[in-house]
Amino acid sequence: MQTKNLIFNLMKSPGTLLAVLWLIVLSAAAATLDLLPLISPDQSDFENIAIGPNAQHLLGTDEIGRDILSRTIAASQISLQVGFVAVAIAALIGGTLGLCAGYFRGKFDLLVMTANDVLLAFPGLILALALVAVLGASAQNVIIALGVVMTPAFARVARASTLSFTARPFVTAAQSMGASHRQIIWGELAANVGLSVLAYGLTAISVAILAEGALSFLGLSVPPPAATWGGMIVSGKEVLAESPHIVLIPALAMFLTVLSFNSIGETFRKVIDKRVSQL
Amino acid sequence: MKLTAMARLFVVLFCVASLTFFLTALIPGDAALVALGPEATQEQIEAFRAAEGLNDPVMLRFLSWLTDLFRGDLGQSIKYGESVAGLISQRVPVTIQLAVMAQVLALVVALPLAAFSAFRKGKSFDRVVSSSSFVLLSMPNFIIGLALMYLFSIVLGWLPSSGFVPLGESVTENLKSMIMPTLAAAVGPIAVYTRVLRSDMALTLSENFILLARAQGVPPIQILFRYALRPSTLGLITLVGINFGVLLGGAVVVEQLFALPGLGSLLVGAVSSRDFAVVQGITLLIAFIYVILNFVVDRIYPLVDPRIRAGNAN
Repeated sequence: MQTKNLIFNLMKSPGTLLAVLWLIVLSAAAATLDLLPLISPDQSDFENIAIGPNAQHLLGTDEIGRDILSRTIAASQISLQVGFVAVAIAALIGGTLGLCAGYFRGKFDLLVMTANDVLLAFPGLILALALVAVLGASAQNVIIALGVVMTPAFARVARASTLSFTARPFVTAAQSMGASHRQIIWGELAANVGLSVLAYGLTAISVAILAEGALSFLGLSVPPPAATWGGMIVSGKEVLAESPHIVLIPALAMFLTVLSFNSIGETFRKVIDKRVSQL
Repeated sequence: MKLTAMARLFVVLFCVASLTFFLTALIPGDAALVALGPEATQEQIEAFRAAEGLNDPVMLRFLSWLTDLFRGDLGQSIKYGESVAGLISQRVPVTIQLAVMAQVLALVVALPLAAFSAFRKGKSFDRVVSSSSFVLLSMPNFIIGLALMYLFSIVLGWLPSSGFVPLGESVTENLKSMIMPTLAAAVGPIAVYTRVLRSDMALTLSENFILLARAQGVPPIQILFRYALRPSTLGLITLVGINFGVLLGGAVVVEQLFALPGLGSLLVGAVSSRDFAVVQGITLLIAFIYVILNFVVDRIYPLVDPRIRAGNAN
């Protein structure tokens, strides 16, 4: 019922359908980059520097003659990986903490919420920057930094959702029947709270991809020569007047990916809101 | 165990300071190496560490760092050889100017857009505004900044693509150099404010007192801006506070893109040269500004909404 409903809603809005298609194509290309008949993302073609799209280079070449199509796909590997893994870490840790805080209340709640306030005191990008500065710029450290930055938001979402569910009859009924904390958390709360966390997670992926883009734009994500969308954009900035396509293509790829996650997240949230109000 | 809001504020500020210190203080060796360069001998490094107190136990260093902090001393920059507080005070006006101008622009654009969208809910104006704000949410400020740069500097040649003129030197030249950075920083907040205020306002507009005003023939403009706006701004006020953080973070990217000499570009430079005293100082300052601002914002509600003052919100 749940899946059927979701798919039905996706089909209803052509925008969301396009978003799903774009993400499937991009992920497939990112996963199979080595198998695709493309020029290596690190190989320079010195006879074709900063040229526009043509038969040999479908999306043109960058300022040192590297193929933009294969670099854009290579960069999407990093962005998608960072987006998914950082959000998964934050959702798991933040979600669990928030659920327990909302369920047990008391001192544990106060502790978790104060820790939350401390982390939220730093604007997200500033904290990510400071963490990467300390840990060093690599894919793994960007994931850790963004995971830490996004954990408090997930804790808040999970806590709020837990608070609203613990007051519902199906939880109070379980409590009055003598169910243990473990039974209530796993049996009644986890799945329901998990859905709100998942809905927020889809939007959080786009936040993470934007943050990775900003970090790589500042030269603080995976170091060159590895391709990142932000890195491609910043290096193309120098030749913006002569060859705007060097900036345009990675910018477009990033924009479409973030827009896709946002619109799928929005659709998903609407479905869940409807479901929750029917519970 | 109920903490008052003020006590909670101080606990958070203290934890923020501790976290900032321990985050950067626990990296061994680097500070000495950065200061002395890669050719430094082991003896020079040891002498530097002893002089800077880097060999002391960490808690001792934390205590002396805290007491320095209370006196406004944020330490020395290894890269510039100046005091961090001095460096920050040179750069802070640019960032504040950018954040305030972007905030004001965002509000000036978002208020009428949201009000008319809510008034024409479901009509084409509303649909265009709501889908374009959704699209803009997916666009990072550096892409918007580059698009502006391409249009206004390269194609039209109206504005300089970089180069900052201080406000004290020439007001018009300063504003010219700030137009594109402000726009790039404001687009995100414009989209967020418009969406939130539109839905809050749509709710207010369905209330009885608005219906009454309409029935009495009060003109729409007066209904929107005199009756409906104020009770709809609670969500917006929270967001304005939160968005100062987003803007200060976004300023890092925007300043880097347009080569503005603000806190953000100082921070990025400090991160790349591993100048940790500067990273620490800026991170701490921005977090403090952000926490205190949001604390103040939380106290503003009762001033705006008498329902909260009377203690019967909702």
